[in-house]
Amino acid sequence: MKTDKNTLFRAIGEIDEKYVSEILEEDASGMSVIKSFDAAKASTNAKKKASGVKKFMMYYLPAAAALLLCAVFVKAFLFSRNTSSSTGNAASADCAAAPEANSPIAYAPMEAANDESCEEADCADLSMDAAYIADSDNEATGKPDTAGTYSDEGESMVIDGMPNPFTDCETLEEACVIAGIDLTIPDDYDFGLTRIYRAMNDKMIEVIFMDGDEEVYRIRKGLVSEFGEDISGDYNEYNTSSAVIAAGCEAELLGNSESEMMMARWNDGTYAYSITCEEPLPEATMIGIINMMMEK
Amino acid sequence: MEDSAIIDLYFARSEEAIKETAAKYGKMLKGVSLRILRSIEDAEEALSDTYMKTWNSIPPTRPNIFSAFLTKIIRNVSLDKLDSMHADKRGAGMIPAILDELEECIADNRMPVPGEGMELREILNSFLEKEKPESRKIFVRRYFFGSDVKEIAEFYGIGESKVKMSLARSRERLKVCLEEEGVTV
Repeated sequence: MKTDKNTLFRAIGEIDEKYVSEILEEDASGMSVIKSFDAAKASTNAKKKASGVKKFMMYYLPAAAALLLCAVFVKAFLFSRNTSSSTGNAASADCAAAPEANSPIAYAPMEAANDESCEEADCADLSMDAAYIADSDNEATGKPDTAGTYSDEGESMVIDGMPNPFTDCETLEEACVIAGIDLTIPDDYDFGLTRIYRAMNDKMIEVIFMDGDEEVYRIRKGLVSEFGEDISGDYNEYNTSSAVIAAGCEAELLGNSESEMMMARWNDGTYAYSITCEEPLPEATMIGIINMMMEK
Repeated sequence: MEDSAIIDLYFARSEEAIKETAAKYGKMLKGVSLRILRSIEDAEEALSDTYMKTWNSIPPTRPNIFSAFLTKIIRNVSLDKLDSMHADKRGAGMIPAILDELEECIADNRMPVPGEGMELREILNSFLEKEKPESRKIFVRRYFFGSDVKEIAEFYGIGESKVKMSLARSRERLKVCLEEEGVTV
């Protein structure tokens, strides 16, 4: 018995012959549109790369510079303390501040550098360089790594990089427990993608949908009180913005056109939500995902 | 032999026409039927019926693209056969899965005959015209030729999830096209 979907399926059999022909030609020649896919992929990758460079220049580079500056100040401060308590005159003008292998690394104190002549300050810089070289040597010779570790009379302080606030989880349940937040996965829009579950302690939960090594889209849910109303982390500018009511909330959809939405964000007062895409999704799909995420 | 020469043989009512058609397109046509019927025996039967229908259609019809013309015939013949097989509770293949996917394109699960709007065929052509070549080819392979997702992914050297994603997006766009032309209630 024919149904409506049967009618549509039958009608597809009546499409213009040129569409059938292009497939037959492709099959006959053994050539696929891999090239065009590759071209499209290359273009997407170039965009991603450009976007990555932009992000790097705008956010990561200044952050890294600030961190480095902090590290230098902390280092100088610690050594100024170290020097005043143990060596006292480590910043002597003979520039003999290069460290010995078994002794704490000695730098010229900042105060001394400020108080003494420029020449002395230069010496202090040189001694700092020497200390870096000593650190490198230690690493190379298999001696205990002192890079980023500064001792002060037996006490030590380890300066690490920016810690990753997210915890990778095996399951959604685990992520929900860590985040203290429940999240409904939009299963209808799974597309057979693999998922990565991540959580931020009592603050946020995130699921990333991956196609192999490539991210397709990610969803987030976090506390408005912690992150404000936008938790997307997507600071790109988009051509179109529209407000839709989905699941009782007003969601903002952003993208390059109605059929190419890149981001959605909304909140229910307590939690903020976001969907961000690496490849555009149609508006209807975005709304579908929102509705599923908001299902109780 | 060139397609135009084969068609001329049909017009001349020469039985060589069928022989040449079989030699040039038999394998390809059988493949199309096999995807639908999933049985070599049934596909061969469908192929014979296709030659018969082609013989009866040319003349008067003079196909523009002979291969596509034949493909459309064998698709319909195979689907007719599948319908009768369902009546006999035989056969299945992947057609039910394809139909379920297409159901998403119909808003309330009913398909009224378009009245003042375009005919369904024209809507589909218009939709395909607007699609990007990659997504159009994936769509046609899946819903015209009945290829499975894995097969399409392997052919294009892309992931299955990418094929599924492309199909889902195409269905969304087709749904919009159908709605715009009043093919929903």
